[in-house]
Amino acid sequence: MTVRRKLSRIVAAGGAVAVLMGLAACAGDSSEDGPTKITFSYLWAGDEAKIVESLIETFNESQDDVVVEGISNPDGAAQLASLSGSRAQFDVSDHFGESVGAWVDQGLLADLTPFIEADQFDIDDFVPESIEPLTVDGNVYSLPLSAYTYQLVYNKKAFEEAGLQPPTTIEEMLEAGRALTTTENGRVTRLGFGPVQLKGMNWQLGGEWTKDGEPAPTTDEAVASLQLYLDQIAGLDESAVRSFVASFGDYWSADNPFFNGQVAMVIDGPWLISMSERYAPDFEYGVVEIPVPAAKPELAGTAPLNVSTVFIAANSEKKEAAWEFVKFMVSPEALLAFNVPTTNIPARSSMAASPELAELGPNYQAFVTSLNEGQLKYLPAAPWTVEYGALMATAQNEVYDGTTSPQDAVARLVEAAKGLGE
Amino acid sequence: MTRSRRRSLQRAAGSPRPGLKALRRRDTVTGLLFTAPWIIGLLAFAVVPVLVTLAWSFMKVRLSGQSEWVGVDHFVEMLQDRRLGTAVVNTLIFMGVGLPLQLLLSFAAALLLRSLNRLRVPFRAIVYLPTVIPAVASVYLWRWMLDGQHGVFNTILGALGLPPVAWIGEPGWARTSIIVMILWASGTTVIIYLAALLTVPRELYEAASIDGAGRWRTIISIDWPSVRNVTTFQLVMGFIAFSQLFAQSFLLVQTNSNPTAAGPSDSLLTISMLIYHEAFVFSDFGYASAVAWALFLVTLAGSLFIIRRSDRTQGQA
Repeated sequence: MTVRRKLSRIVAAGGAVAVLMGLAACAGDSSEDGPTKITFSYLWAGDEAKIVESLIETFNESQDDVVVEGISNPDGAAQLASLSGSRAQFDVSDHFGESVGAWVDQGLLADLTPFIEADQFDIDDFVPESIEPLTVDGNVYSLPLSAYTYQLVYNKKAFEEAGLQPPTTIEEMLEAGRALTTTENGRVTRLGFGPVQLKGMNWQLGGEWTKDGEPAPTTDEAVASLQLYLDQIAGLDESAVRSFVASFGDYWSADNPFFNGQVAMVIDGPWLISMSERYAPDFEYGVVEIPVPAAKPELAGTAPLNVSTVFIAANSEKKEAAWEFVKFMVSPEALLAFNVPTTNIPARSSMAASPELAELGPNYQAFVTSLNEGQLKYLPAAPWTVEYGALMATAQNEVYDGTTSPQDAVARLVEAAKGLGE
Repeated sequence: MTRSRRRSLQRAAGSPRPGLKALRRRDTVTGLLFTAPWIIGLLAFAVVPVLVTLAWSFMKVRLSGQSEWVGVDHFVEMLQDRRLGTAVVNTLIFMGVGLPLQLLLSFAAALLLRSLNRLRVPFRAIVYLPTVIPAVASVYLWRWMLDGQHGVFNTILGALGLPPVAWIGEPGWARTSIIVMILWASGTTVIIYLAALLTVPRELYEAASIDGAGRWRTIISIDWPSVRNVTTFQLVMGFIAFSQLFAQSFLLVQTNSNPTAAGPSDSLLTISMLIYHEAFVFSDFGYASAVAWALFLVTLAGSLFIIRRSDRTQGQA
């Protein structure tokens, strides 16, 4: 046999092996005689991934029909690539509620409504505002694992030293912010509060981001939201303030500016509690509602809301089995196991008074109360939700970087918002 | 040689035997089989996706498959996209400042390396070393060095009694940091210049020396013109690289909490970064494809312009 012929045979044999391996891989998914195998690809890593793996193990041991394989893959682009394929690389995954509108528009998420109805799954147990951002045209496309409301978190020691009480109105917040802002030889050493997030503050001041379901910001409140931070630092050297803000350390570390005393109050979420336990165990802080204008007391309890969700991929061929796992992941037992260590909030109303949550202390309870009793604000599930949020962030950054005025930034945002809805 | 023998040889040379033909066919098949993985890979992962994005740039893309034609809407949208405007300006700033600096400093470094006779090899390795470090690793290294609180640069400034600099926190400094990172990893450009300089005929320098040319005059009149073709090559490659600038700016400001982070006042937002945001954060694959094609066409036109311009200049010279 010539060398050439031998090589041809090797190539042909290699091709045959590749085809057989492909067939074997396909056959491996078959589950005619055993439990259905599904894949849960999740974005968490580290300690949170360990909790998820433990939940998967509990689920697998609890029944014989479905076997879940967990894969930690904190890569949003890979997740999107898999969702867009003709065949699912995973059946269940997780994401944030803001993406639901765009992903439903792309046809990437399975409609959970038929499963909910067929199973008579009690969706009414979830805080309604946690389900609405996951709903498009009356159909539910994801279920909440955690719901996050934002509250005002303040440095107790800084407030005590300044003889201040936590603010209850925006005016008091501004006054406290100015009093707590300190300088030394022209250099800023502490800010009362850091650059204010436009998106959330607009709601606190009574503004809205949408009208009839379309992007349309209310301009006066949006301008006032941006002006709030500028009013706090008025009279200071703006470049010195920017340098100070730029020196803030990593948010997820002991260098977080709130923990190390660079900022005296922040508007933040419940995860800050577990973060403080890890990075600043001796740090003392309190949690109160985010203030609203004194002239608008009816807004009391207003708080921005975001949701962490679990969903079934539209291209999954095992949606029934996937639904069984999704149901388990949002069961009270699983929600407790996931949310207590991470100090996030389960979105089920029936769990608000659970003793396990009460044990997490008054600061955590402030977030639970806000979720269950507050006036929760969120953007609707729409194809433009994420992009709208990015436009808001751009507007706020331009103002705080001193490149434009609040009025001009909001005017441009209004124009850009019109383009999103078209 | 007999007449019949000559005829037989002529026949063999003019018309191949059936066995030879089969052998050639088998060669072709074997060759195709060996190259098939590469050809299939090229088609599947380069040619087809590129053609798909061309179609997508005229479509409102739904990844589930129910896309619809929108004509030139995306290209019209590009004209009104303020964020794209910012990205174009930033990319031009990086290119306008970074590319000339990269070429001049690399040329200067190559001249220095050439003058180091015995130390040339170790210094050449030192200059080239940053190039072999993966982009992700090097950017994270820089991120640590530029950190406002614990970074080595601000630590040095503090030790000298100078105030800290917001390397990544202020638009001007953030852009400067990116350019410095790019210059740091310009080893390939230096080595190519060095190789070109080493091929310049020695007689030219001897003639210049006889004519009384100093060091500076020699560089201007001999070294720089001698590497003109290499400079054109570097210019085109640099133009393409700066047009596609992504990893440095994206990784320097990437955070878990903000997938569209692009530095202070979007000062590090480049066109490639915007394409990524549009596709993988906003799920607008149609618009992202249109911007990508516009970038490709502009880059192609720019590269051709540089090459033609260089040819014309060389012709005049």
